[in-house]
Amino acid sequence: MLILALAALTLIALDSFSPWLRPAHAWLEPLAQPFQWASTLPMRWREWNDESLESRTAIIANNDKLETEILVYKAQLQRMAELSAENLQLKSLLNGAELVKNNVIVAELVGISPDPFHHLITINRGASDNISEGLAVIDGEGLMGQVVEVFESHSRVLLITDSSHALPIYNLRNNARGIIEGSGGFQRLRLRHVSPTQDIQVGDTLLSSGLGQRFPSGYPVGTVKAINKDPGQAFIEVTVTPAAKVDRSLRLLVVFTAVEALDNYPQTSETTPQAIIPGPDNAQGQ
Amino acid sequence: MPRGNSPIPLMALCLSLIGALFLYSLPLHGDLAFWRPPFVLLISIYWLLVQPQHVGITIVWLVGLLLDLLYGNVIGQNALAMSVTAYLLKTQEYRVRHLSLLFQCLAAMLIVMLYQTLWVSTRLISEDIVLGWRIYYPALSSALIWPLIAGALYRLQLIFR
Repeated sequence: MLILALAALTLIALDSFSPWLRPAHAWLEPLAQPFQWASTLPMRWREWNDESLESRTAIIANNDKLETEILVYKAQLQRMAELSAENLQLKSLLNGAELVKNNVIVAELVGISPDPFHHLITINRGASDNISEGLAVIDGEGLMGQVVEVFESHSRVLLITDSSHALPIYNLRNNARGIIEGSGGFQRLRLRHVSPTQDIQVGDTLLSSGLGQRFPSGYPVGTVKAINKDPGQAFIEVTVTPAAKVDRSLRLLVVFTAVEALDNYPQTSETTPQAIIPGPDNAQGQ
Repeated sequence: MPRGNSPIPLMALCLSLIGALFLYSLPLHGDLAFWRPPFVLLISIYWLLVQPQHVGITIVWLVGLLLDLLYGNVIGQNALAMSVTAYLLKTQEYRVRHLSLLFQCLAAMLIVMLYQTLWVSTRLISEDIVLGWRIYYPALSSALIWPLIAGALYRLQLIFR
């Protein structure tokens, strides 16, 4: 018994404070796949339900709606091309750096960590898709998290709602900067160290500021839900609802940031659905 | 609980382990995740009590190690917590085995409380965890689900005898 306990303690110490046991994690990872897959079963079942058990008329109506939506987005994208060209021109007039595009690659959620203390998910893209640690992960609505561990064909993503996660943001309305941290609950984020005199209102949109050099700037992080001013406290309590459907999205996008894209451009295959969205400016002063 | 003298019921052991890992993987909505019973520990202590000639603390330690490796925890956390829990249970083995179902549930609650305490304390070495009463929620849910698990495992054992 003593030997076993000591062995376990040694393993804990080794794995916590040294990278020597990393290969063991990577080696056993394929074994965990079926169970990881099982963890997404309810979501998959719901999706299958939505797709297969709908009536023909509902599907046709849905298709029509989606086609209209695409038309609207295409129209907006036309304007976008003009705007980004204009932006580039203005930037060159200001003697700034050129606009670098952010590339995204579509990933699918393949696992959810059963650990209630940490919000970790697994996606089906890994080192073979040029994923590296620290890349941002978004869904259709906003920022989801960042890649923390990369394996050969999949990787682990730490969600922004994890209680150990924080990222720099700015307020869209007045550009006030701040740091937002996860609370451990899927529907709640907290703004850290907001002084009572700061201009912040319920409904403000918060975007990632890119100051930490980790996340690309300009992706929606959340909207302010409630502000609690306690006269006894030095800072006010600001609760934020995440923009991304952190606990519901099955399809995600991994964003290759501009800095990454310069020397390690993602080489995605033809079959990989890939989209290019105009990224924020990558200010690298000349 | 029955006490078998038959050869090792490998099939039943493996099936119950896979089932427990599967149940452990299923996602639960929001705060409900804190109520998930540690299924793998529960089946381990069942086999520890029912098959003492085959399943010992070393097996429980190995199962804990497997759990850590599969779910990407720090290696050894579950191995330590589960083996120490199993050892303490083993010292009280002859009392626990003859308890009625109600008292078995209470015992399961105490065992899971012990396990959660050990597990969370080992995790505190390297991780940031918000402590609270919620770390003991699995103890309550385990007590409620114990008759179901014990019954299912008993049936499984009968099938694969």
